[in-house]
Amino acid sequence: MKKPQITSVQLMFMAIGSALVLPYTFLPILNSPPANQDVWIVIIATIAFISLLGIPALFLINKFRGLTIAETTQTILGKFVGKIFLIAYALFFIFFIIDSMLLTSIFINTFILPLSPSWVILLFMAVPVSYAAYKGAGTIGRLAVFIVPFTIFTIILFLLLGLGKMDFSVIKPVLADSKLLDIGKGAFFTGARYTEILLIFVFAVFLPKKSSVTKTYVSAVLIFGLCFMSILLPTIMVLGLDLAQHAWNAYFLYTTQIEAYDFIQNVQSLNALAWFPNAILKIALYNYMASHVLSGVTKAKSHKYFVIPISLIGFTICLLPIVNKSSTNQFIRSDSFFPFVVVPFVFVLPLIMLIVYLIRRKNLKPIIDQKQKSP
Amino acid sequence: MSLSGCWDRREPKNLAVVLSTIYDLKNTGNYETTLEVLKPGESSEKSGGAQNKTVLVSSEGISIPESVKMESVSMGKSIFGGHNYVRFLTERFAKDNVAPLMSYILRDYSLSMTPKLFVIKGENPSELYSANLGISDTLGEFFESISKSQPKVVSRSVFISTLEFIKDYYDDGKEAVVGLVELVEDKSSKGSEEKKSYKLKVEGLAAFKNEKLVGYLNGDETINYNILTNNNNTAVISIQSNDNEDVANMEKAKTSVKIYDKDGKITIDVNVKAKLNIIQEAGFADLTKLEVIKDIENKYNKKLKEELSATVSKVQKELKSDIFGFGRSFHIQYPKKWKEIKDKWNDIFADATVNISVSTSIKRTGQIKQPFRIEELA
Repeated sequence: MKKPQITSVQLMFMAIGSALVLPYTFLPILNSPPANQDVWIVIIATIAFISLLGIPALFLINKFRGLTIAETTQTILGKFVGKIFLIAYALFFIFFIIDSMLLTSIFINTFILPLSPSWVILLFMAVPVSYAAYKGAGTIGRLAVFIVPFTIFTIILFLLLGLGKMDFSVIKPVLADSKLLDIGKGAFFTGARYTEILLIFVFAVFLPKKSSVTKTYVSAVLIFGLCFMSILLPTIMVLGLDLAQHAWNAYFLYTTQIEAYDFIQNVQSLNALAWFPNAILKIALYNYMASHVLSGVTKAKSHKYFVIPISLIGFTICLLPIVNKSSTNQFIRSDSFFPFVVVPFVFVLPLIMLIVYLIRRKNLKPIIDQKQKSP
Repeated sequence: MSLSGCWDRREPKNLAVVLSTIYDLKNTGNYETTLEVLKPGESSEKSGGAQNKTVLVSSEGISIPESVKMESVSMGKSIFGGHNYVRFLTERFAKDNVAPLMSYILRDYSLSMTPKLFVIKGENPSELYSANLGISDTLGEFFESISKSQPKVVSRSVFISTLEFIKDYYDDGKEAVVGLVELVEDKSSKGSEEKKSYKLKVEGLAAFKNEKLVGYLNGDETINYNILTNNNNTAVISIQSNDNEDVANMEKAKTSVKIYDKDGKITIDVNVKAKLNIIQEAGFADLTKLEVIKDIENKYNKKLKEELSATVSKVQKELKSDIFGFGRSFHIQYPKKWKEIKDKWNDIFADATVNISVSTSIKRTGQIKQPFRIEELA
């Protein structure tokens, strides 16, 4: 089967769009340590932390260029252990789909369409998600280039329109109330929510060989960091730190305050307009990633067999009364749960694979060469 | 998003569009909410009066949300708060506790954070709606209009949005304030002896300490508040000299605060720099001469210093609430000490020594070069 091709720009926008859903929807960084006016410094430390966490996976991606995540994992760890790892990854991606669908439906139910039943909102999400994931990497890549620049445009627009309302004294005193350890903890809790290195792991196989994965990844992380900063700073400068910490969706609340020149009002609709397609893009990406990994495990001819069942699983679980609660979502997203689920998959498993690779590299070299040469 | 046309659709004909709201606390302990609701299809020309464009709906409940929801029982329409311009709090309500209302506003998706907040001074808050509104059609529109026009002319009030109030409520270093409105007799109107006509006086501010109203500042004091909090857009200041009155228009003043903590004794140094434009000089001063300008500037410096000091002193002694946000400056300058004292900052502020220095600079003297009055004719 002919592999779909995506460009490095498409992959970069996929990673940026997927990562931006989190700060765009809610800003967990506000309540992570040090939880004070130095949160913006935490972002800088977070970028460094994300880069560190991504090193093992990035090394493997570059070493195993042209191989899928399933081929890479099974080549390094052998078929049995490799399959266990891959199933774990697939389950992790499905967990992510459920979490993102839940977050999106609760947000829509709380802020935009409170009277619409959850099942309808979830259905309206599941259909485009399934379609995009079914069509594959090329379609999702084109979708990302269409959606993510618009999202970035809204971030810049809200930043500029809010300038007049910003109180710069909110971020003072700088580094006076925070300990270095708190900044480090904050960077860990925030950086550990960034899973897009796995997205690169899955989609890098579709890049042309001359494209640099490292450059794509670094660009995606840096642009994400800038956008994150452009979301966080105006939010705390306009709402104040405490109100922003209290709000479920601080950035949305900030955008509701934007007024300019007596005729720019109620522009928060632009926020929703950018956020919803971006959320759909993220869920479609993770649906595709789960399907892709499962097709690698089962040696199925196509990922398509798994797309609709995964969407149905997400749809059904999100409707369970115990799951479809703000408090459940709050717990899943909390610092005491979410980062500790993410870090093993983003860092620990790739690190184990890297160590095994380094131990077995002489034996693996001919196998890798052979696989990379085969069409 | 297309679902907004299904379950969440709201037909305009079924909506009660709220323009302003009064929150009151009754003697029974119940809350009363009064809504000014736009009457669809009524134009002021047709109905012949401002009050006829809206209807007032009141209802009581044991909680604020309940009293608001109870409005639907008698109205037959869904309440829509998207065009609410102003929220009024009665004195009773504001003195009791505003936190439940703020919690309700923050949690309910349909309630906007942009309406301005005002405390109504007086015993009969709903009489606000019978006041003469000048050329405005509704009370909501009146307040929307005045919140834009008044700060450009005089700074005798504050126009604080619900969000700004909540922001200050959360801020450890600054207490919240809201605008003040009261009914005064309108002597220019042709009301009969029995039925007096009233107009609205939007002047002064209501100061809060944590969740409760603690006192008021009048219009002059509010000008000083606006200067000290860097919110002054413009203010008219008059000084008497030799039976003449000089009037200056103050452009945006710039206030900087420095705090000194010497062995627990707090001194707050406030430095105000302001640019003035002379808009009236009723004597014979030659404003082209530098020494005359300097002399006038000194008079303004003295007057402003006295007035600002008096306002700060009143707030320290009577209100004991740091509405100026000096606590923020303390936090920035002494972050470690702030952690220890922030819970008792209002008491520390009340006992602090506040030194005010004012430096005015006359920028423009108007369109004439020489005194208007002719000495021989005077």
